[in-house]
Amino acid sequence: MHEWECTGFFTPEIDLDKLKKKGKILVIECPQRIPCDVCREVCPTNAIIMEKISDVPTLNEEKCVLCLKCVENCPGLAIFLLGVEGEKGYMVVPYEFLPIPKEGDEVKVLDRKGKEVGRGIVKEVRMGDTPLVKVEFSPDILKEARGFKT
Amino acid sequence: MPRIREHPILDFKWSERKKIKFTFDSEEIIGYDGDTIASALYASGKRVIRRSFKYHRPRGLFCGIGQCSSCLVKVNGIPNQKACVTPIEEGMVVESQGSIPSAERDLLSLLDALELKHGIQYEKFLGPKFLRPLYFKLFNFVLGSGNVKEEVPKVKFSEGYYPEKEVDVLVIGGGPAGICAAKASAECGARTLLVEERDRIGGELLKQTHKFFGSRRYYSGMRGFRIADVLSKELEKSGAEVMVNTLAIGYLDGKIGVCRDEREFSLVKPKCIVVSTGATERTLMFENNDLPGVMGAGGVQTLMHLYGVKPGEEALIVGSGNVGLILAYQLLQAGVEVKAVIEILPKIGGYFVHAAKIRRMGVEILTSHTIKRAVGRKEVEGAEIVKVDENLREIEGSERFIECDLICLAVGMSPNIEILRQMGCEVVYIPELGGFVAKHDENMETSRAGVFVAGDSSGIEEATTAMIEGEIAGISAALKSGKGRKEHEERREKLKMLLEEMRDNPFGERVVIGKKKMWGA
Ligand code: SF4
Ligand code: SF4
Ligand code: FES
Repeated sequence: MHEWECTGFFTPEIDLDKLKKKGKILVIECPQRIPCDVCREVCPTNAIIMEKISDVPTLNEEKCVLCLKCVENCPGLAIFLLGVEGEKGYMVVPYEFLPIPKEGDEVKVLDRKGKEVGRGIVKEVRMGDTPLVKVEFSPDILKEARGFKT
Repeated sequence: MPRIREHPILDFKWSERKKIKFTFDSEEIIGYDGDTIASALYASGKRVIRRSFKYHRPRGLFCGIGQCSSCLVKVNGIPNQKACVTPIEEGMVVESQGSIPSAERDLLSLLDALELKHGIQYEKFLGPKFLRPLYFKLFNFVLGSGNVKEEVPKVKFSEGYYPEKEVDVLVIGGGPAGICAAKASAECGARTLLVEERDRIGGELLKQTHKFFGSRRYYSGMRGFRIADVLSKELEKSGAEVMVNTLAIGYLDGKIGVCRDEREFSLVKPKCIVVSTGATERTLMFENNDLPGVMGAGGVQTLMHLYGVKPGEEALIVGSGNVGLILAYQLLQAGVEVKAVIEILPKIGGYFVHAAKIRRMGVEILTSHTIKRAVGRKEVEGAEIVKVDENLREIEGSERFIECDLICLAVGMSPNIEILRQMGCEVVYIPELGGFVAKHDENMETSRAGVFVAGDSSGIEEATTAMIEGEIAGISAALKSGKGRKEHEERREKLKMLLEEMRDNPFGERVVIGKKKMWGA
C-alpha cells in the first residue's frame, strides 16, 4: 500500500534545476492505475505515453509543446504547468470554483493538503470548459504550490 | 432561501423560471417551475417532511429519487405520495402525515408514551363492531399512513382491456446502460422500446457535473450531464422509441405491464428484455440515522444539480469511494463547507486524483474513522465520529464531535433486481458486485433466455462500464430476437475486449473477481 492511497496527496520529485533551465515544465500527478486516457487522447503531439487505458501516464518531454490541452481536459485535474520567469515562479492550474479570479487579484496559494504556503498574484485567466489560471509567486514554493483560494 | 444562485458549472436560469405557490401544512411555500415538492420544501428550509409511524420521529429526504419512502406526504387529499418525485403545481395542498399541527411541531408525538404501533388497529380496539371504521380512520391518521378520500376513483384491474404492444427488445430503465442498450439494439434493426420511470432519460448522468474518466469512445473528458444530452440525441437518431414517466410494474406470461403517468396501463410483449434498473443507495446503522439532514449521496446530488438547492452549510461525508469524493468536490462547488470525508477502511476507496482534488481545497480525509451517531433534535446539528482499529472496532475514547448540518452517506449501492427476480432469473449473492445480482454470462444474458442485464443492476460499477455493458446487452438482445448481422456480433466481441481493458486496474479487479465468482456460483 502506498502512503498516498491513505492520505490523498503525494510529493513527486521535481527537478528545480531543470525547471529553471527550461523555463517551464509539465507535471502529471496521476500515480494510480485507473481507466482513463483523456490526456493521451487530447494531446496533439502524442507526448503522453500510455499503452493501455489503465496505465499510468508518462510524459515524453521532447514531444510536448506545452499547449495545455491535457491540463484543461484531465478529469482528475492532475496535470499542472510550473514555470519560472525572472525572479518569479508560477503555476498554471485548472480552477472550477466561483468566483473566477481576475488578472491582478491576490490569492492564497495552497499546497496539496490545502495549507496556505504563500500569496500569489493572478497573471492570466484562460476561460474554457475548465478555466485555467496562471498564478505567480515566490519560486521557493514551486514544489508545494498546487492550488489556490480566492 | 438556500438556492444555489451561482454555480461554476451549471446554470439554473432562475430569472427565467416561473414561481409556483403551494401550501404545506397550511403554510405558503414558493417554489420554481421544475421543482418537486421535496426540493421546494427543502429550499424553504423545511427539512422535516413527516413523522415516523411508531415514535413520531422527524423524517426528511433520504434518497431524493423515489426509492426509500422517507418523504411520504398527503397531496390534495391523497396520502402516501412521494414528495421527492411529485412535481409542484400552483395551489397544491400538501400536508404532512401523522402529525398535528405540522411535521415540524408535532403534538402527536406525545402519544408515543402509549406505545401505539403501526397496525394496532388490526389487533386491538376491535369491538364494538360499529365503531371499527372509526377506529381505523383514527389510527390510520394518528400513525401516519393516512386515509384515502372516498372520491378517489379505484382502478379496476380485473375488468380492463389493456392495449398491447409488440416489440423486439424492451429496455427497462433509461440510465447510461439502458440508453446504450436501446441505441445498440435499434441500430441492429430491432424494434426497440425504452421505458423510464422518471420524466427524462439519463439517470445517474444527469446529476454529474464532473468530467468523466474512461474511454474516449464513451465520452471521457465530457461532463456527466452533457453526456446525457448527447446520448439522448443519439438514441433519438437510432430510431428506438422512448416512453418516460413510465414504470415497468411487473412481468406475467411473457408480458411486461407498464404504467404511464400513474394511470395509463398497457402491456408490452417483447421478444427480449434488457433490465437496466440501476441501484439503490445503502444506508448505514448508527444512532439517529433517520434524522432529517442524513441523506444518501445521490439524494444530495439530486437536490443540488437537478433542483439547484443548497443542501446545507456544513457537511460531513461518510465513505471515501468515488461517489463520496466526487460529492465532496461538488459540495464545495455549490458553496458548502465540507468538514471531512470519513472512511472506515485504512485506505481511501476512490481514485487518488479525486481525493487529491479535495485535499488541495483543504478537505480532510479521515481513514479508519466511522460515524457513531448523528446529533440533533429535529434535524442534524452535528455528528460524533470515532476511530476504528484494524478489526474495524471502535476505539473507545477516540470520539470526536463535528459540527455540521448535513451528513451524506456514500456507503455503496445495491443492485435493483426486483423485476429480474420476478421473471424467475437465478439470483446469486456476490459481495464484490454489490450484493444480490442476477447471474449473467459475458453477453449479459441471465439464466432466463432472452432476458439481459446491464449497468448497476448487473453489479455495481461506474458509468463507462455501464455504457459498454449496455451496448453489449443491447446487441445481444437484438441478435437473439433475430435482428442484427455478423458485423454487430463482431462489434460485441470488440466491446468485450474493451470492457476487459477498462477493468484491468485495482478498481476493476474487484468486479472481475465478482464476475468470476458469479460464473462459478
Ligand atoms: S501540454 Fe499539450 S503537448 Fe504537452 S502533453 Fe499536454 S496536451 Fe500534449
Ligand atoms: S487525463 Fe488526468 S486522470 Fe486521466 S490518466 Fe491523464 S492525468 Fe490521469
Ligand atoms: S422516496 Fe423520497 S426521499 Fe426517498
